[in-house]
Amino acid sequence: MKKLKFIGNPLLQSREKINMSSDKKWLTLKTTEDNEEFVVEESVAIMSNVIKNMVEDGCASSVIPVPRVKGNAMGKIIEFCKKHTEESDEKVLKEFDAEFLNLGPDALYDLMVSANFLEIKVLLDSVTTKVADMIKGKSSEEIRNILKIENDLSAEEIEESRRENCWTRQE
Amino acid sequence: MKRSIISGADNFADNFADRKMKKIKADDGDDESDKIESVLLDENLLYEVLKHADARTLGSAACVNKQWNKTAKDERLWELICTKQWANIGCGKQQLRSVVLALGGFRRLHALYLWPLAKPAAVTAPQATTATTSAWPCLPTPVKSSPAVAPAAKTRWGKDEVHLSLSLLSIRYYEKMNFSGRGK
Repeated sequence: MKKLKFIGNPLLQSREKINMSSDKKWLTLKTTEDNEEFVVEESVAIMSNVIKNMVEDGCASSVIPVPRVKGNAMGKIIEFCKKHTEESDEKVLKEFDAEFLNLGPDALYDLMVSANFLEIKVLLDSVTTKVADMIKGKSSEEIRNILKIENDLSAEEIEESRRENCWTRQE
Repeated sequence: MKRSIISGADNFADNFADRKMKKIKADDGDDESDKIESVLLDENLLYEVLKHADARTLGSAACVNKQWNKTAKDERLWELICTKQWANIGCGKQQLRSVVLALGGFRRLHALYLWPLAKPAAVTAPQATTATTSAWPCLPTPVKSSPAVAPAAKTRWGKDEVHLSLSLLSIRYYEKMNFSGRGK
């Protein structure tokens, strides 16, 4: 049973009449943490596997509550998904991703957690690649400094790990 | 697969069939370093990040802290590292996986037989004279290149190299087996 979701927003109606032949569906995503609402096309929203499953199973009502994701992260995610549904040129997308992910560590991690939660593979891959690049080729000490992680391994455990991996001591 | 109507965060967790979704502390206004730590200590996310790491980085990651150590030892990560550069060796992934895991795992395979192939010649040369299974005594001395311009890690393993390394892994496995029961 197909419902046209744009009903409710009178401003959109006239535009929707033109779009009716393409039968675009709109969904409202509401972040429950800060009650922000985002109206998005279904084709954009279903980049998230979680939302896609809800829609396919017929569980998606007019407003989909999204826990655990904050409003600003949601906005960024929608921007990303929109670009990736509209654009098919690999090169353009790559440039967009590089620019898009030019964020501080906290925003990056918010994005990563949300992408993981919403099961958006493309976004998760991009963000995790970016984070992996941050630690690529670094020694364990440097990784700890960059990410502010405390070392709770004993010297023996570290040595054993090194031996198992046959790395040289230069690290 | 029917999914129930979303009523709360719990239903989202059901969707992650093969992942344990730990609750990530949503600390608002807390110390920022706590957030960074808690995110990268979540083993699922850490696993996703380390999927993109190369062998050396994975080795360093194993020495960062206990959680990272545990995640970096995940055989699936090492399987990715070993197999992404392999030529088609003519057997299915599942088959290969069950054989390698039985013989000691991808991490050991990489550490003992693939990593030495990738390292510059200067480091492996001293071991060439010993006749242990972890060296490559039959290999001719590689083309002399100064350490400064040593080639980057080998990017592609041919079929023969793969078969050879798998053979050596199985030899090592059988050498280590306890034969005290064999009194025939």
